[in-house]
This record gives sequence, C-alpha cells and structure tokens, in this order.
Amino acid sequence: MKKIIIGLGSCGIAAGGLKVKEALQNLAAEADSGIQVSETGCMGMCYAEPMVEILEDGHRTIYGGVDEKRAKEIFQNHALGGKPVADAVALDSDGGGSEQGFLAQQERIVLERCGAIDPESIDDALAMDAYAGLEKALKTMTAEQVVDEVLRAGVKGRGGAGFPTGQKWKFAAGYAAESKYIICNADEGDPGAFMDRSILEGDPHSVIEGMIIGGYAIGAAHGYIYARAEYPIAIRRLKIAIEAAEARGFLGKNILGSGFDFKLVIKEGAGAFVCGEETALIESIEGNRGMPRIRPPFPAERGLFDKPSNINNVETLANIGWILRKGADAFSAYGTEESNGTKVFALAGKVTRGGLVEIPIGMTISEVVNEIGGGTKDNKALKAVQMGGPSGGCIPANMMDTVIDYAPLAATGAIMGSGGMIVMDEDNCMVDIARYFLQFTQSESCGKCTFCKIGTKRMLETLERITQGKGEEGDVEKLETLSHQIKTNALCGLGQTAPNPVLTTIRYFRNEYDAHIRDKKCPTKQCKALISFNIVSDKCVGCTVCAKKCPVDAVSGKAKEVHAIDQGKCTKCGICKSMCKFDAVDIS
Amino acid sequence: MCKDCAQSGKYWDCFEEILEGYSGDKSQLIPLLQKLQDAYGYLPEDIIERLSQRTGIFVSQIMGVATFYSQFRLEPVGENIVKICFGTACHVIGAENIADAICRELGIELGGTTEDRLFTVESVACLGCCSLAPVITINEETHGRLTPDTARAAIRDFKARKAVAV
Amino acid sequence: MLNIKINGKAYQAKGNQTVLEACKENNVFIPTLCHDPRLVPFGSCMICRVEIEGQRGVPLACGTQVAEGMVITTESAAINEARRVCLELLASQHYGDCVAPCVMECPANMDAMGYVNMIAQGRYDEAIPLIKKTNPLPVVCGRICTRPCEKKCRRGAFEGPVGIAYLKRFVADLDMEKEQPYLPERMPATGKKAAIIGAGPAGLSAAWFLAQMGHGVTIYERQENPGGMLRYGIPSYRLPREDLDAEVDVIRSLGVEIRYGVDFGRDITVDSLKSEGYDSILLAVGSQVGTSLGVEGEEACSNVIRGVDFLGSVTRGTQPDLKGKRIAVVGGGNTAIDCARTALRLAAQSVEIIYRRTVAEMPADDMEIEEAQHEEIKFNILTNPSGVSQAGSTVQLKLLKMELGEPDASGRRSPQPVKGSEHSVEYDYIIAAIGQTQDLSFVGPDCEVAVDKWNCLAADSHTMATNIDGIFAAGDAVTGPQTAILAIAGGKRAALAMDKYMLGQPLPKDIKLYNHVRGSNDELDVASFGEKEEIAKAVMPSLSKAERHHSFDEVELGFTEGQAKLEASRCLSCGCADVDECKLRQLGTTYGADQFAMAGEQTTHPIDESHEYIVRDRNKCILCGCCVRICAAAGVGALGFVGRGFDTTVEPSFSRPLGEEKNCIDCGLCVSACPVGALTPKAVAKLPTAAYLDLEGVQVTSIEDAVAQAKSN
Repeated sequence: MKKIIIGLGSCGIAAGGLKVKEALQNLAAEADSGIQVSETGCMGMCYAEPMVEILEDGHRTIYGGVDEKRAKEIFQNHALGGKPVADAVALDSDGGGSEQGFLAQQERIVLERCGAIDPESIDDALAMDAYAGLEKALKTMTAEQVVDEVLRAGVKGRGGAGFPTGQKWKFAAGYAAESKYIICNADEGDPGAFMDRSILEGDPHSVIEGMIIGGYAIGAAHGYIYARAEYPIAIRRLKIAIEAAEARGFLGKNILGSGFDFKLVIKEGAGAFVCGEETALIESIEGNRGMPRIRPPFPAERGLFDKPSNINNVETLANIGWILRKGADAFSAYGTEESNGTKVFALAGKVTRGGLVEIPIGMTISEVVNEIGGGTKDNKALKAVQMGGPSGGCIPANMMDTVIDYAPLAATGAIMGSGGMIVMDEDNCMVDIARYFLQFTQSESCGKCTFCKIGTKRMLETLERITQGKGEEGDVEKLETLSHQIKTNALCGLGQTAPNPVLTTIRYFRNEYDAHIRDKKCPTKQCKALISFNIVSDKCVGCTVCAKKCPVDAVSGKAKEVHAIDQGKCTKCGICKSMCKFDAVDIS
Repeated sequence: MCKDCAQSGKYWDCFEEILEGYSGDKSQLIPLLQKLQDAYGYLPEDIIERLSQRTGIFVSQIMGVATFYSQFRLEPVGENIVKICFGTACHVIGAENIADAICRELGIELGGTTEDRLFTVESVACLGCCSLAPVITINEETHGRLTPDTARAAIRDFKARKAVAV
Repeated sequence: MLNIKINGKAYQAKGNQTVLEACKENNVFIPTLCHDPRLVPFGSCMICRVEIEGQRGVPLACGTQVAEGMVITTESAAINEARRVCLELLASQHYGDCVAPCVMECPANMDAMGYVNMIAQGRYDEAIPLIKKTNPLPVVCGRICTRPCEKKCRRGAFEGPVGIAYLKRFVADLDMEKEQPYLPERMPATGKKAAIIGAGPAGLSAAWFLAQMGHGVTIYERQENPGGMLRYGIPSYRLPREDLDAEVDVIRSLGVEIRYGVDFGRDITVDSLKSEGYDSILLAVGSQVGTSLGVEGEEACSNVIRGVDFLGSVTRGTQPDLKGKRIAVVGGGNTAIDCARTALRLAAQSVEIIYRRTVAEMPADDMEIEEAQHEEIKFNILTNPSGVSQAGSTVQLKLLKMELGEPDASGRRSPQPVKGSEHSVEYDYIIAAIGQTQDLSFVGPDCEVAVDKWNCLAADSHTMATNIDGIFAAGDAVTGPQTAILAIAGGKRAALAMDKYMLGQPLPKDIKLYNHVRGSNDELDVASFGEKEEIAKAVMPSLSKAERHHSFDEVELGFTEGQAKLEASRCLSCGCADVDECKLRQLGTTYGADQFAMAGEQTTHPIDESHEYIVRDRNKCILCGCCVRICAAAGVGALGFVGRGFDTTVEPSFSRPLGEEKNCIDCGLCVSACPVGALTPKAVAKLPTAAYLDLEGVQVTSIEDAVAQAKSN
C-alpha cells in the first residue's frame, strides 16, 4: 500500500506545501487509487521544501522542491506507475538521492520522530516508541531514580545557559510543598531560531512525555507549556496531542495505573522576548507584565504562584523520553567529555542548505556550516556565524574549527544558545548586525532595570550614529564600557547578555567599526546612509529593466540610452543592481 | 468570532460569553485579553473597563499587561494583517527591502492601517521560518523566499482573491 | 542573631533581614532608589548592588537575605563606578531643573522662585525673610541689580522672563513702609568681634550675617555715609538715597555699628584692630579708583574727569556746573551710561557716549542702554580717543574711527583704527568711564595680604580667606569692579567662614551638589510645561521723558500690587519641589554623577497638574515603581506601568490625567514613596502622608494608616 506524505511544518507551508497537498489529494481522488495522502512535520530540510514522501512497505522516497507540476509528475510516474522520478529524489531509504549529505553526519534523538510521523496522530508516535520512557519511569523507577538517571545522562539545558537538567530537577525535588510546577519554556525568542517550533510541530508528544516524567521526578502534578503565540500550528498540534494523551491515559489521574496524577495546560504567550527568562515567564503565567524578579529566591524554591517550580525548554524536555527509554549510558555515548547528547540547530542565513540540524555535541562549526549546510550561497566568502541570537555573538570565519560545546563557544564570546545559527557572508556589515541585535533587545527590554532599559538604548543610539556615518572617536570605547556595566549589573539574562553581539563584533571586526567611524564608509556597502547607487555609463545599454523595476521611479532614461538615478528619490533598496544583467549599477 | 456584534446590538454578548467561565483566577488575565481581542479585533476601552469590574483587576494593571505584550492592540486594525518577519535570517537577507516594498504597495507606514481598513502591516520579531527568509504572513498564509517584487505580487494576488471571494 | 562581616568589620544581623536592612541597622550606607521599607523588594534601580564573598556577580542588597558568616562589601571602586553609571543612565532620561535657573544663576543663589511664588500668593510677609536669608539689600537690588536671574528665567522661552527684580523691589518696599521692617532673630552672643573695612554691599552683607550669628560687628568706612559704590557710583534717579539709607538702617538695627571717616591703613591698622580685641577682619574696600583714558595730554587737562569721581561728586554736591555744556563720556559700561544720564540731568547741552566697538558689544546692561537711548543720549560708536588737549575752558578730543577685526581671545571682535580717520572734536568736559581699579595702599608690613596680577586681593573663592590668618576679603576688592549682588554673595560667604574661624571650627567646604538642568532656554522643551496661559510681561511704570528732564527723581516707580501678583503668577516654578529630598540628587552628589555622560534621546511629557493635591511630572520619573507598588499594596490601584522598555511610563487608568483617576483616594502614599520629584504634593496639609522617606529610608506613614486617614477624610 502506498502512502503520500507531505511535509507541513511552518516551513513547508511557507514554501507552498498546502497547494501541493491539495493537488495530490485531488489527483488521488480522481485516480480513485486508494492512495492515502497525509502530512508530517518538519523533516529538517527546510531549504528543500515543499517535500513529498512516497512510503511503500517501509521504503521511503523523499522528493524536494516539489511544486504542483512536479507533484503531478511524481503522482503519475511514482505513486501510480511505480517508477521514481529519479532526478527529483532528495533521499531514499537505500541511501540514494541528491541530499544525503545533509543527513549523513546528523544524529537524531530529539528529532527522532520529526518528519517521520503525522504529528496529529498519537498512534504514529506510539508506533515509534513515544511514552515508552514514561512507562518505564512510572512502572519501574522511583522519582529519585528518574532524577538520578537524568543526572547520569548529563543532559544540560538546551535553552542557552546549559545548566545540568538533573541538577535542576534535584533542587526542585528537594523543596517540599503541597503543590509544585513543571514548566516548559516554549517561548522561543531568538529571532532566527525555530528548533522548538519544529519539535512542537513535528513531534509534540516528545515534549509532553518529557514533562510528565519531569513532573514525576520533582513531585509536580501540574505542568504549563508557555508557548509563543506566533506559533499557531505548534499550539494547535500541542492541543491535539494533549487531548490524545489524556484519552490514552498518559495525562490525568493515576497515569498508567501508577497513582501519579499530572495535568498539563498550555499558556499562550503574548509577544515578549523577555518571557524566555524564567522569572519573567512565571510573572506572565501569573497574568502580570513579564518583568523579571530578583533572584534569589530561584524558582526551584519559590517560583510559579510562589511554589517550587522547574523550568526546562522544549528541546531539553524532548530528550527526556529517549533517555529514560534507552538509558543514560546510551545518551552519553553521544557528545563530548563535558557535554553529552546532541544539539539541534536552526541553520539559516547565507547558507546553501538551511534547515533543522541535529548533531552530536562536539562537531565543529565548520562541519555544520560547510558539510551539512553546504557552505555559503553563490560562492560568496563566509564571514561569520552568529550563534545564540541576541544573547550570543558572531564567530569569525577563521574560527570555524571551534568545537560546538558550551565552554569552547563561550570562550569565543558567543554562546551555545538555544540553537540559532545564522551564516553571514562577505556582504554582511558586522556593525549593522550589532545594531540589529541591539535594536531587538532594546525593543524587547521590559523597562524594569536601569542598565537594560536605558543602557541598551544608549548603546543602540551610538551604533545607529556609527552606521549613519556620525560616529566619533571614542564611540567604540564607550560601547565597551557600557557593555561591561550592563553585563555586570542588569537584572536578568536578557540585559546581561544584550551586549554580547556588540562585544564580539568589536572583538573580531574592529576594522569595520573604524571604517564607519573614521572614513565614514561601510566596507560591505550595506549601511544605506553611507552609500549611493550610480549607473556606470559605459556599461549601461539602456535596456530599461532597472527603470521598470525601481519601486520609487528613481531611475530615468530612454530605451537604448544611458540611464540615471535620482539620488533624492533613491531609497537604496538595491533592486536595480540585482536586476541589471550588465553589471552597470555601481555602489559607491 | 463576532466582529460585527456592535452593529447587531449584541456588543456585550461576546464579552459575557468569554467571561462566563471566569472563576476569579487573576492569572487568567492574559488568556481573557487574548479571547477578547480575538472577538473584538482589539481591546476597546469600554471592554477593559468592564473586564476590570468583572474581575476586580485594576484598569491600571490590565493596561500594564495590555501595553507590555506586543500581541495586544488598543486601536482597531485592518481586516487583514500582514506580518513582516524581522528575524535575524530575514534581516541578513533583506527584510527591510521587503517591508519597504509592501508599505509602498499599500501606501502606509510600518505599523499602519490602510485608509480602507483592509490591511494593517506589522513587524514581528520572528515567524520561525528562517530557512525560507525573507518571510511574511498575510493572515494565516505564509510566504517565503521573497523578493520585493514577489512580496508585492503576494499582496496583489491576495487582494485579487479577496475581490473574487466578495 | 547572625554574625556577618561588612567591609571587613564584624556585625550582627537578625535572621530575617536583607543585606540592605542589616547594613542600615548597623549604620553602613547602601544607596537605593527603588526600595521602600513598606514594600517587598523589587529590583529596578540596581544601585544597591554589593559584593558578597562566594556569590557570583553582584547581588542586590535589597533582595538578598543575610546568612551566617556572610562577608559583604558595600563600597569598592567597581561598585562605585557602577553606581555612578547607574545614576548617569537615570539622569539621561530625567528632565527637569533641580534648582530653578534664576536661583542657580544668582551669585547669591537667592531663592527667587520661592519669593516670587509667595508674592503670587500674596504671602508678602513670608517673602521678605526668605529674601533676607541671602541678601540684606533687596530694596537696593530690586532697583539696580543687573538681574542675571532674569536672563535665564524659563519664562523667557515663552512671552519673556518674569520681572524678578521688580518683584523683589515691590515686596521689599512694602516691608520698608512698615514701622518695624523685618528683622531676623539674632543668635545668642558669642563674645567674638569682627571688624569690617568698608560699608559697601560686601561689607554690609557680611555684617548682616555675622550679626545674626551672634557676633559683634563694627564696620569702618572711609566716607561720611554708607553704601560704597551704591551711593558714590550709582545715581540717585536709579537708587534714591533715602531708600539706601533706610535699608542700611535695618542692618544697623540688628546691632551693627558703622564708624565713618575712618581710613584703613592710616587711622586704623590690622594691629590696632587686633589690640581692640577683634577676632577677625574682613577687607571689603571696593574698587573705587577710576582708570585714566591713557592718551596723550590727559594729565594736563583739567576738564577730563574720571567717571567714578564724577558720580561721587554729584552725590556729594561738589560736581562742576555742566549746565549748557557739551559732554563726552568715554566708555561702554554701566558707569558710562550712569555718567551720561547724570550729565543730562545736570542740564548739559549735549551728551555723547564714545565707544570703540558697537552697541551690541557694550558691557553695560541692555536695559540701561535702552534707557539712555530713550533719553536721547547720542551714541558715537566705533570711535576711540587718541589724544586730548585743554583749549581754554574747553577740550579738544582727538578721535579715531574704528572697525572690528578678528575675534580676540575673549571672543569679541577687537577694534582696529581706520587709517587716516583721525579728527578732532571740541567738548566742554570729557568723562572717562573706561574702568576702575582698587586702592590697595593699605597693603604693606602691617597688612601683608596677597595681591593678584589684576591688583585684586587674593582670597579663596569659597571661604574668602586671604593668606593671612583671620583676615578675609570680599567684594570688588577681590573681584575687581563687579555687580552689587556678587559683592553681597561674597560678603555672605565671608561671614559664614569668619563665623567658623572665630569659633575655632574648620572653614566651610565647597560641596558641589548634583544639579540637574533642562539646558538652555533655546533648547527648552516648552511643551513639557503643559498648557500655559499667555500673560504679557508687566511693564514698569516710569517717569516720562519730560519728567526725567533735569530731574534726579527716581525714574522707575514700582509695581502696583495687582501688577506684582500677576507678574509673579507667570513664574513656571521650574525648580524641583523635591530638591532637598530627591534621592537622585543626593546620590548624584555622593557618587559624582555627570548629567550628560550618558546623554541621548529623552522622552518628555507635559506636567500633569490636574490632581487637587498632587503634581505629577513624568519627566522626572525614574521608573523605580515605588508609586505603582505602594498604590497596589494599599488596594487602590490607581497607577500602573504602561508600555515597555525605554518608553515605559507610569500612568493612571487609560493614561488619563491623575485628576480624573476614579480609584485615587488622595492618600498620598505615592508621593511619600516617590524618591524623586515625579510626584510632589501641591497642598501639604491635605495629604496624610506629606513627608518623604529620607535617604536612610525613615518610614513616615504606614500604608494602613495612610489609607485609613484618607478614607476618613
């Protein structure tokens, strides 16, 4: 029996997957073939979306970049005709296909079921051992033994800070209270990361299972999943999954006959990056402004509703079921001396194969970017990789051999972070990148503590001046001083890490700052205040393409005559340059 | 849910429906506001006032929450919401030019609403489709791998389909 | 009790205390802005960070519980730098004047904002004591002050500055009309005696303050009458002599003795004063010698008079007969204008002011220049004398035309002679009013006070102490010819230092207080003052041109009460009501914060005066959240945070004016909790909690008491 599966994570949908699904459903109905058309979550190969899989007797053939026309071809030749469309195969179970390189070095623990199951079907998940870890824990282990197992596995927090999860559970378990809470931080805030979204969309049961096990371990009967409201698909699939889990007795009273009760509630965030900070998240669940609290007391002692609480992020929790099922030793077979397991990265930016990547901790950045990601696009030179988003930093091209592990990354000034990995090439201005992140943290500052609220604003103003060519000698030093003060004195992690993108770009790309400040030039010709677009008269053939494409009618000229750009109108969008086939538009 | 209630004289019905199950748990404030915004399109003052009376949560506190989270709106918005992603990946690939093209197409500033109240254009921190950057959404539709040209086309296409649907 | 260590010393603390509380109880200072002992710790200002051994980072003292054996450091270079930066960041988003510019700009720091407001409210009897705290000569200064205060008045950015000096005159004249004008209390006699040389403004001022402090004071004056340059340098049509005398009489009635006709250095000496039992001496001898024109032939001309000599002779009635004479006054300062206007009143045929630059560069007061122009005195500008010769009863004055060249070191364009422009004009008298210097002939073996390169007495700018123990100096003798108010200010500083000296205490230190400013009037955010009704600046009633002719009657007649009240009501009260309690200012002073170190964009808002008892000025809010939290803790909930990040503000419901807030019960807790001037009381008596928490966090009114009181009202 053949089955057609379409990848409908957010990426697949964004790439047009819904249209492909509709087309295939119509074809299947017309042909009356009995072929089932279903969907799955993210397979990780976002660059190749929309993706369509033909599943036949356990044999998988996966096609990438499928549009409606390709879908028809695949349906007729392969689904009906039994003959794969060879040139379009991305992967198949026999190790064939053009995209094997993307998967070759990955190890799938967290993403084990992502892209392989229909996330809205608990049976699919159960068929791939979902809740087996829970069953083992509840039926064969005490709460302490579960904590010990997680401790032994050595899994660290995947949300950024890297605190050992078992240790955290142990603290929370250590405080006696009539009620405790376990909270899943699914407020994926890094604007350039989508690991949590993909996990929730692709395999919500892995997170639910992790939470129930965590609740059992620390003695919490209530769980909250605090999810970003910007992830409607994830929230919908989570709701479906929770209902199914309740129906099957994985949630609710006396779970699997163990006497353990656990209730799980989704709280939709309302749009505030700072709520990724534990105490701000707690404030938000309590119905308040997400302003962080003074720590100590830590949430393990006094958290949600002043009760002992434990907060883990999505990816951390998605590891737990696997660990319990296969054991701590199996888990620690992956990774380095210091850090066990895998880490999921959202690889994006100027990279050929962007998507969701799960690798054993200990690979180098280069292996991820160049071997899995296929290097930069369009043969441009790699300049830096941004890791950790607004709390992280830019690691320069000459440090691509840095090992992906908590300590070596921290030594570069970046952080492991939640998993955002943005590739930048020679065209990206590093001062602009610093400004971009500062603008982000500044707009997301909660407004509570002086250093973050006003300090990041002053940093941003300085960076804006620099990118506008109004920088002054001493600005970089001023940025460094203020950075140091904010890092030391801000109330929460958002503020304390906000200067990192600035500090790393100063550390590795000081020359770009100096060029902006001293020469009033943007070396990459990105900062709009410092550039102008001009037509090179001996190259322009008067094809009129630029004039037609200019969104503000800034280009004028008759056909077959040299064109000209009105600098007063020009918004420096660069469309003319990208459209010109004769390389006749120059930036100066 | 019921954006037309005001006209049909049932303005408060939605409110009552949403508050029906309210048990006095003040931590429900954000979900209540989310539901009210869903129903009314934004959070009108009289709704907040009544919410305060019903829940005992001070107006000052409700406003504190409503102005803290970027999801909440205190002004009515257009029928269709265009969200432009300004995540890192979108930024490095040119979100600004996409925003510029869309705003120019609709003749409004980022954050503004068209005069015919058909469109509101908002910026969002990240839609989580980084590998398909630059990305926008028009209501529930996601559009990726955009150029200023295709972004404009997406808006025009959406308008055309709306016109046909009407 | 727990044993803890703070800054290396052992202390004890209670188990339930925070580090902040434990330190406070043990008298170890930790700054805080956002902590109120009535509220749970919040952690917004971040200034209470301390170091605790074994703890990562720098924990907040307000939120950290003490523990046995805890080792706390509250002060270090790093901590203090962080605190300074914290304050500078807060200051960069704080908009207001700690002290009104009129007060800041006044050399004597007279509380102009204070007395102007009292006048506006008709509280005249309270205005005078306030004025006389800094200046015993308001009748004089209300007439002749050069009014630096008005030049900086914030109302100047609207229709025009408040007429501060005229208002002072109004209220001072009222006082003098009383049978017993205001006299401050004298402190019990100290048994110490001070001798003051010179009965000019500096000497009189010092005497006034020394007498109040219980010291015996004798002024020795060379002339036959008091006032110094006020009498011998300022014409009576500007300062009637009876007004000057009346004000000096008030000073004398405080127990100050003035001995006239005594020449210091000849009749009395330092030694003779010491032997008479004086414990300190103030040299306030003034700057009374006119400078010569410095041109050829001057010495041989009997009809060339120096300006100060001329004005003095008019006071004494010994002036030459100028009736029908042609007069040239050389110079561009106030003395030149005074000489010219005086000559006109002595029935001169014509009076001409000769000045080498243009009117714009004249150092004289604009108002004086205008008056002179109004009285039709001729201004012969860009002209300079180059020689003079007596020709019978007239003089020939050689003049050169000038043109302005490149700006010199002072920024003024220096005049250069125009080649071949020399010409001669005949006058009857030339009055040289180009400057004054000091007669320091008393300096010698008896009195070895140091003299600086400008022929001034060298004295410490704050204590006015000279190099000689027990001898102080003030006034023009120290500064060269300057304004009366500067001399009065110097006299007061000298008095404060002499008091300490005579009591054997250390001299006062010059503490630079943190003073936040709104910047110059050119860049003033006028909208931040809220809606202001336009009220035209009051015009001083004065004699007509005809009435002034040949008359030494006072030109300016003084405000009516109605005029005074209306003019006073124009004051914007731009100085902060919380200036003496503001923690931001106190800590800014302690940690040496620079208002502009972190300067950047500022958001401003109109001041909200809608509430009956409370003024809400969001421009000064530092978002500590004390008001929001105390209002919520009181169960009132009238205030909340709005927005987030840099643009966060504190607002009543729906960001409406506070006066429209339905939940507010007027308990005033928010005012009591505000560490700065963002919430200040309008009417102290009406609010149950009108007092503030001081720097030590003294609790004034509990939340429960305040709410109960408010509800019973």
